Amino acid sequence: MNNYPEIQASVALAAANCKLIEPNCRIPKRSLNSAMVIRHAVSWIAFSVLLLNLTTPSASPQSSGDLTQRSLEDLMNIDVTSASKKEQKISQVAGAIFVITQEDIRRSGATNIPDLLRMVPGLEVAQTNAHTWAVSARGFNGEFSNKLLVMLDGRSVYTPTFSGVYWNVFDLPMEEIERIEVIRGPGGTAWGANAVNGVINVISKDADETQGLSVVADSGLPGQGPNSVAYGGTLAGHGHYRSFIKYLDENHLTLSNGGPAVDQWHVLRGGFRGDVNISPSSHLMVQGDMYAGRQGNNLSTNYFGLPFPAVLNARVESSLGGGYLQSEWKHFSSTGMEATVHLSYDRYRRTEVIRETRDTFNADFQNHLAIGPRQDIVWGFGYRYSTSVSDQGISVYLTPADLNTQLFSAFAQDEIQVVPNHLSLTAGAKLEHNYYTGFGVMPNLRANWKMNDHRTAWAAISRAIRTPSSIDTAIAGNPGSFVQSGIPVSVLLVGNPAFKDETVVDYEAGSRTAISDRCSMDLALFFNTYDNLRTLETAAPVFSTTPYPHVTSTSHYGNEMHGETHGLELATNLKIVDRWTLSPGYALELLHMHLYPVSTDTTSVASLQGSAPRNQAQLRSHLELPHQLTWDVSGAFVDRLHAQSIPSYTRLDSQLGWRHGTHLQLNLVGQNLLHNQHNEFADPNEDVAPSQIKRSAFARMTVWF
Amino acid sequence: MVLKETGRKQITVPRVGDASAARTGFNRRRVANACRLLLAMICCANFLNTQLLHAQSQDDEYRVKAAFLYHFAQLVEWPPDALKPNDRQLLLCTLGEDPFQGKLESTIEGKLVENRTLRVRHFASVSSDLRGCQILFIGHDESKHLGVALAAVQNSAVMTVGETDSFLAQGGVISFSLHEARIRFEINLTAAEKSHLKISSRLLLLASRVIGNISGER
Repeated sequence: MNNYPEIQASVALAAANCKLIEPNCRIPKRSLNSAMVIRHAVSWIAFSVLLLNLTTPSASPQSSGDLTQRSLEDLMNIDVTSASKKEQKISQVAGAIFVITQEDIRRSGATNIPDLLRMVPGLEVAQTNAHTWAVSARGFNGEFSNKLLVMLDGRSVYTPTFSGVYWNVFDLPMEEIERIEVIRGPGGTAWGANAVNGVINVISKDADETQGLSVVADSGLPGQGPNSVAYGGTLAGHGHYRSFIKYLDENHLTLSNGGPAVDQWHVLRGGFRGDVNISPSSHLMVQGDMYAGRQGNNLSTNYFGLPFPAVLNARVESSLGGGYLQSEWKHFSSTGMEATVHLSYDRYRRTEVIRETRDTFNADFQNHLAIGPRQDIVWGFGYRYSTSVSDQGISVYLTPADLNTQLFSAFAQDEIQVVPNHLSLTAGAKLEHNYYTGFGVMPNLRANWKMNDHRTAWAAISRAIRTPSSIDTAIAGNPGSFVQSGIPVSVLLVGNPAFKDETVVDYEAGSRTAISDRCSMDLALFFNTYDNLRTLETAAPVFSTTPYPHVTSTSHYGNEMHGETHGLELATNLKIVDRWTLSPGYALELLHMHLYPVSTDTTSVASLQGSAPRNQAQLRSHLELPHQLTWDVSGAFVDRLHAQSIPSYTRLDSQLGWRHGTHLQLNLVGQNLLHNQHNEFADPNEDVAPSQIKRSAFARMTVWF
Repeated sequence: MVLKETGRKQITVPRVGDASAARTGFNRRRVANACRLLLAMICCANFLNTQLLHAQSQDDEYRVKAAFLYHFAQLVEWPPDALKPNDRQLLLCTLGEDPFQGKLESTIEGKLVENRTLRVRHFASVSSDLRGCQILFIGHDESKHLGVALAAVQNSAVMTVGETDSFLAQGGVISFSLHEARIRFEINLTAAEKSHLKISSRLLLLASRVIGNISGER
C-alpha cells in the first residue's frame, strides 16, 4: 500500500561537528605569558587533532586490503555500515517523511507505539493517563485526534466511531516491527480520507525474519511492563510463520491531587503471521491477532436527574476485546507489473462511556506498473463495510444505536520522470464515496528535484478530507448539568446528521541536505488552510416545567470554523564519531482559527489553538560503547498548552543495552528522569481526568533460542 | 556532547574576564583544566574511533558487495555462446543510480575471472544494450524500474543481481539482503535457468534462501 520505498538503516550521516567544536578560544595577547602560550598551543594542537579526527572521513577504519582475496564465508561475517541508504531512499520522497527503523526501536526502550513516536520531530505525542494517549501531527491533538490516519500492514486502525485510534489496544511485540513510516501532511491520495495531517504506517516483519523462540520479560517499578513469547518456524513448502503471546499489566497512576487515577489496565494478546511464496512470482501473507483485557475509568459527571443535578462519580472497569484477520496477496508479472489484493476483517468491543461492538470488512486492490522508463503508475480501488452495534452508556449514547456503513474508493497516481534522475512530478487523486457525505475527492501534486547527490528539494499541494464520525452525526446525551442563578440547567448534546467533511488544502515544501557524510538535515515547511472544522453550536435555551422547572440548553456539532496553520519541522543527524550519533530535532507550529459569523461556539477556537505546543525540540544521543554496550539518551522539550493549563516540560529518557552473543539482550530503561511526575495532556473535549506521568525505570531481558 | 560543551564554555571564560589581573590566575587555571579535558577527549575520541573499531571487522556495505559480485562471477557459468571466445572481458553493469559510487572500479575492475578481465559499465536508463552485460546490478533506487529492466534482459544470459525485497519474486537471479548488519544473498534458480546460467553448488550452499527449481532436479 505504501508508495515509499523501504528505508532501512540507521542514519549514519553526520557531522557538523565543525560548528559544535569550533574552539574560538583566542585570548588577547597582553594577558599571555609563556606558560599560557604553551598551554594555548597545546590546546590548539589538541583541537586540530580532534578536528582532524572528526572531519576526515578516511579516518573511519575499514578492514584494509583487497576484499576480493577474502572468501565468501569471510565476507558474510563482515559487519557493514550502510551509511547513506536511508538518505538515498528518502531523497526520492516528495513529502515530509520520517522513518523509525528497527534500530531506533531497539535504542528507544519504548514499550508501546505512542512512546516510540515521541522521537519523530513534528509529531505531538502526549500521554493523558495510563491507558490513553493523544497523538497528532501539525496541531489538532486530542484523545481522538481525528486528522491522523494510523495503519498496521495496510489495515486502518482508525475507528469511525470516534475518529481516532485506541492506542492502548493498537499493539504488537516491539521486536516484530520492521519499521514505522511517519508522513506529516496529507496522504489522502494514497491512503484515503482522514489522512488529513499525517499518516502513521506500522509495518511488521516478514515471518522469515523472526524464526526460533524468543522471550521478552520486563520488570520494573511501578508498573509491570509487557512480557511476550514468540515462536517462528517454517511451513511445509516455501513459507514461514510466527506466533506470539503478549501480556501487559499497568498499575494506575495518580491524579494531581494525589489520589489514585483508577486508570490501571491489562491486556492479553495473541497473534500470528504467515508468509508463503506460492510461486517465485507471488507471495501470500496472512496475519491476525486477538486480545482481551480491562481498563479502569474514573467517570464523574453531573447529569439531569433527581435530585438535581444527579452526581455520577463512578469507577468503572471497561472490558476491551477484539481482533483482526487479514491477508495480502502480491503478484509480480515478468513485465514489471505488481498487483496486490488486500482483505481484512476486524472486530472490537469496548464498554466505555458508550458500549460498542464494531465489525469491519475491507477489500483493496492495487496495481503498480511502469509505462516506459519515465512513468510509474499506481492505481487501485477499495470497498469497506462497517457495522456498529451500540447500547446506551451512562450518560451518552448513539442514535441510531446500530449502523451499517459502506465506503467505496478508487485512486490513481502517476509519477513522471521529467528529467530522469533529477526532476520528477507526481500527480494523483482519490475519489471516495462515504455513507454520510457522498463523494469526496482528494487530489495532490508533488515535485521532487534532486539538485545533486547531496541536496534534494520537494514541494507539494494536496487536498484531504476528514469524513464525519458517529460522534459528529449520531451522538445524543446529557454530558453535564449545572445550576445557574438558582435555575437548573441541563446540557443536551445531539449529533448533526448534516455534518460536512472537514477539508484541508496543504502547501508544503522541504529539502534534504547531506552537508557532509557525517551531517544531514531534513527541513519541511507547511502552510495549511482548513475549512468546515467542527464547532459546537448551541441553540437558545428552552424553559420547561416537567419534571421540575429547568432550562435545557441543546448543542449540536456544526462546521462553522476555518483556519490556517503554518510551521516548520527540522530533523538533523550528526555523526560526531563513528560510534556516537546525535539527532537534534525541532518543530514550530502556529494555529489561527476563525469562526464564521453564524457560529455560536465559544470554546473551539481557544481549545484548538491552545492544545498545540508552539515549540517542540528534541535531542537524541546514541553511543556505542565497547563490549557490545550501547547507551542512549533522549531529551524532549514540549511547549505549554494554554487551553489545558499544561506547563511546558522536558522529558528525559535513557537506556543502557548490553548484548551477549546471539542469545541474550539486557536493557535498563529510565523514563521521565527529570521529574517525579508531570501532566502531559488534559483533553478539554473529553471527560478523562489527566494523570501524572511518573518517573519510571525497568529492566528488560530478551532471550533468543 | 556534555564533554565538548563543557570544554568550550571553560575556554571562552578567559575572553570575558581578561581585563582583570585578579582573574587572570583563575583564568589560567581554567585554561589548563580545559586543556586537560581536551586531551582526555581526544584520547577518548581516538579510542572510540580507531582502537575499538579495528578490533571488529567492519566495512562499507558497497565495498563488501563489490567483493561478493567478484565471487559470484567466479561461481557462475555462462552459456558458451554468451561469451565470445575472442572477447577477453566480463562486463559488469549497473543501472541508474549507482550506489557503489566508484567502489566497483576500486575493488574489482580489472580483476581476472577465468582469463577474462572484469570491466564495469554504468547505464543511466534501460536499453537493449543491457543484454550485452554478463552481470547487471540493479540497486534500491531503481526498484521502480525493476520490472522494465528485468524484462529487457529476459532470456538473455545476464545474471541479474539486486537488493530489494521483491527482486527474486520479480524474476531476478541473486538478491542481497542485510541481516543484522551482515550481507546475505538469496538465489532464484528458475530465473537462473531461464537465463541459461549454471550456479555452482558452493554458491547455492551459502545462499540464505534458494527458491525455484531447475527442471527435474532440486
